[in-house]
Amino acid sequence: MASSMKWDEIKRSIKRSVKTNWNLFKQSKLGLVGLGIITFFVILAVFAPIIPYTYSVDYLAPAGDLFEIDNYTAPIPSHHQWAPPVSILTPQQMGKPTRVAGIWLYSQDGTGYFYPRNFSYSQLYRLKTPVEKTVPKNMTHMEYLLNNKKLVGFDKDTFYIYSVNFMPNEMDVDVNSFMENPEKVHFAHPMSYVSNIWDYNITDRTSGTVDSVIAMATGDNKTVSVMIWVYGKVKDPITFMTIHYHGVYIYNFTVNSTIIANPSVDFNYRNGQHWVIVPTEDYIYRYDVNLAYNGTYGYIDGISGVRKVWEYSMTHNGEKYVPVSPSSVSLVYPKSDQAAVGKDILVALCKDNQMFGLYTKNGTEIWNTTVAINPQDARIHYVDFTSLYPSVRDYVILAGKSNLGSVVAEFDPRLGEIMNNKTSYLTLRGDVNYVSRYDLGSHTYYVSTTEGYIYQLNESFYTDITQGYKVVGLAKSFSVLGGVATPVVFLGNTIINTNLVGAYMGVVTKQDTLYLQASGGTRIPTIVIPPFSYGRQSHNFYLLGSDYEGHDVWTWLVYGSRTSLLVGLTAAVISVLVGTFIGIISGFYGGWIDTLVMRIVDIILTLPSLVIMLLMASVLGPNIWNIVLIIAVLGWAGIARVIRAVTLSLKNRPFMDAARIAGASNARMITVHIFPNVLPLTFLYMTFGVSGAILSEAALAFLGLGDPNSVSWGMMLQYLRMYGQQTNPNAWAWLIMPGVFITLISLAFYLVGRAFDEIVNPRLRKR
Amino acid sequence: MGPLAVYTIKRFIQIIITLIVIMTLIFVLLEALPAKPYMLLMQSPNLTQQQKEAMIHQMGYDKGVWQRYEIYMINMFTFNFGRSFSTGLNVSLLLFGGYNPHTHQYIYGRVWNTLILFGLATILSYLIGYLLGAIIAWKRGSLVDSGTVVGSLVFYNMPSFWLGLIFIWIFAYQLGWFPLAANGWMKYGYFSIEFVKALIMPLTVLLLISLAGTTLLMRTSMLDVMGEEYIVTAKAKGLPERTVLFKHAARNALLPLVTSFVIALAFTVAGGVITEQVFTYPGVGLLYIQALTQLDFPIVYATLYIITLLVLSGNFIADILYGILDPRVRVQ
Repeated sequence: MASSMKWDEIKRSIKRSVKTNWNLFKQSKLGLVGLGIITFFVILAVFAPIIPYTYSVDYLAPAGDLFEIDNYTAPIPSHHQWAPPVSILTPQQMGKPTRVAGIWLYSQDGTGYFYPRNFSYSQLYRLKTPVEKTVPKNMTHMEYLLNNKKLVGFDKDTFYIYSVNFMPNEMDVDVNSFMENPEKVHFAHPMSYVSNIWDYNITDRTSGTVDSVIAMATGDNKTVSVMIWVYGKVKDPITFMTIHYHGVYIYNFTVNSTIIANPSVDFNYRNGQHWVIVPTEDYIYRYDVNLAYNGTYGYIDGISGVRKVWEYSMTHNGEKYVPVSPSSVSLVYPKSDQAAVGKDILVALCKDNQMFGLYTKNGTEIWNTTVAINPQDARIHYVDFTSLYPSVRDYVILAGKSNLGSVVAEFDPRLGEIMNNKTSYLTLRGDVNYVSRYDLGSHTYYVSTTEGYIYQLNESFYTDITQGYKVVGLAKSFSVLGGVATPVVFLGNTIINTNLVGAYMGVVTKQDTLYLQASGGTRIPTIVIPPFSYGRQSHNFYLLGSDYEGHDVWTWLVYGSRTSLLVGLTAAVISVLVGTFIGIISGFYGGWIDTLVMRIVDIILTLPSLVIMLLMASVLGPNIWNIVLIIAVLGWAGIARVIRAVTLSLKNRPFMDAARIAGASNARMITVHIFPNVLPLTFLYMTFGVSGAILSEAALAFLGLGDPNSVSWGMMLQYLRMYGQQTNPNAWAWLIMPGVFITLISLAFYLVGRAFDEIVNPRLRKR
Repeated sequence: MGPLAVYTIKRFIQIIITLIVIMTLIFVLLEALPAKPYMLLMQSPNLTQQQKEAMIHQMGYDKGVWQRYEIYMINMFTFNFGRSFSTGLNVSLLLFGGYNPHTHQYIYGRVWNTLILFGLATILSYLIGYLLGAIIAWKRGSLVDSGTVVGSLVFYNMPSFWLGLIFIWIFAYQLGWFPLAANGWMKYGYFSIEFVKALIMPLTVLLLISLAGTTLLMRTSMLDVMGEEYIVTAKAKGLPERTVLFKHAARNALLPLVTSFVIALAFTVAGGVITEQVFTYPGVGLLYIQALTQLDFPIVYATLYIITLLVLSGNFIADILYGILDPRVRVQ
């Protein structure tokens, strides 16, 4: 009975105290505002999953929402025979992104248009009005050589080299000098088969830079013409004069058999050897090209000869095979072979799907096999592969026909097999007439067919445990309206910043337009989703848009309140509890304890806090509890000092003397008499502490030391800055809202603290 | 010896002890860092075992912890900061400026860069805060007062890095008035329009954030003073309001501001790490953050030492000033 009486009394006293304090608190309007804001954030934190327009924390916008499939169309005169567009890329420089500087469009009858770039954030890729230029008639194979900054092309027996000059900003092409004054190299015979062009940039042979390119063509189907052109400068080691050198050299040699497919040129990084693969009716040859070097400066000044390294005859079961089409012999890099430098495997496709794989090093056979697909579609009865296209890295695209139309398949040159258990193939409408160069940035090939369809082939990666490397599957995802007049080409990358690459394909369509498109749907260029918009693919509503990785900004803001409140409250509670305890002990007992504690407090208070916090966070690692710990460790000292001062003054009050005389123990005096008296102060410092802790957490997260497993407002701003999006107009909510929320929540606790302050220190009232 | 001299000597000894403790703490923390600086550099597969050992020797990691601690303390006290692990540059050169013998370019000392920015910000914030605080305290309860108080409270609780980002967005990107990164001026030197342009945005952000504190401090201090009887007397004498405000009230309210000024100057340098980071202003703080991520220990040690030294000397000067201005402190 007595105990319940006492309990009632305590309850009544608490009620009374709360009521009077609340009445006092109510007088502070700002305090009420603060309390309101805190309530708002508590609601956000507690009910995060059911707040409107939020997704789960891990929600990532689907690629189609995030990545704008950017396209560009320009009408072009229809009476011209347009060739595929060529992109002119900005020079490769250390630390500077390579971008598409413009698109070059030329026709067989001598007309050309150059479309300079018009780059901006919101429109990834737009072009300016074209500049008309003349080209030699019947140009074929025009290609831009990035390393040499040259635009090259063949007509029947002449090779043209155009220098591409850039404006001082290294981003725009100097339009006036573009396509003017080509360097012409005449060949004795018209060219029937043309190799790839090896665009090369070397700096180790001389002290200057040597840019050399080898191209290869064949004359009367028995003659091979190797061409090398060299540009560069070298510094004389004695006079320090810069010597510019420049030369085009051709070397002709004959082979014993008739050439029936395009040769390939390559370069071995290890021994600096240029070499040529020549596929003929009887043999495949490898020739090494011996270069002559300048005696004084060491740059290339001629071709001294060629040397046959090996010949290989494709035979299987006693039958002799020949390459099935001009583009059926190709070199590939085997990715898994660590020792490989250069293209180590040669793949040749012959009739009846018979394929041969050999080492380019010594011409020995790795496998010969009759490739087949594993038909998942029962309607496929037969497949006949006719050409193969190398990828930049390690696979080969086989193209052919089947009873269902044309077929492309991805082929693994190491195993001599169609990838993914022979199931990596697709059937397409029309005959494949071109496979674009592989786009490294987005794992995409473009395939065009004779019936005017374009297919974008996306590689899908997954790791096969048994084979230990990535297996590729193909998926078609795209086709251009209006049919296609030219084969689709890969135009190159637009690098938005260092870690994001946008790839473009271009084509001339039958509706007389130049059509360019970003390869959408893959991890490439991108715009953050603007606020108040629906996703293009998913039709999800993004209240405040998305960030660069596809996280919903509103969701992260809502969940970020959890982190802020958690860190702010726990850090403040811990530091206040520790500070109060140490302050009371220090003040109550005095003596050496007091001196020691106060010296430690002095040191902590003089520490440059953010700097030390950074250091401690790097030592402890990015974890939310470590951040709480760090803030608490540095936060208790100020509170301890104040509580100690209050305890000192309380200690000498008459009621303490009375308690001591009544025989109260030290423990009782502290808990019953001192603690309740410092409690309001403790509470006050806690509210200020929360606001300080929230700001500290935000600062640490902004500097990249936040918990990567949690969502916090400081981290949102860090990501914004990391991805360089602070100037992106679509990211305005991502920029503004986290800061507004940090300010609001910190301000709210501070305002509540001030209102408490007025209750605890009546002197402050009416100010 | 007078009481002030005794007080000064006592404080000085305390400051030295604090310095040693903080330096030790820094050493312990950096030793506790799981990643060692030589690990970063030794990732290159081309290094031979001999080269690796030479590298470890060069960084002093072949010695024991105590030996390294001893060397560290001696180096710091003799201002011998050694060479940066990542660039090989003399750290003193980076901090205090001078000609770079490798590139024949002048390096603007990070310490001076930081002191110019933060010194200016602190001085301006105290001057403006003094006037603003005095005026709003005088007009207590008016719309100006409450507006300024609320505004100050908002800025006081605003993360400076965010305000910096907003400034960059509006004034550097949209309007193009100022450079996006405040480090391009170093080609031109201090006496150039480029430096002024680079300085304005970080300065304004720092000013807005710290002005809030000084204004509120001055206001509180003024309100204390205004309750005093001599103000009432001055008013009763019929003195003009301006005279009472600035001659009688504001002057006396200045005391807490003066003492907090020196500490604030030192502390903003330490707290300004983040502002320098946002604006890429080439100061001590930016150098510290970059060095910490690159595990460039000589720079980390040197910058931490300089920052600690600044903070402690600021405290020391403030204590002495306080001792001079308020005789009660000396006697204690």
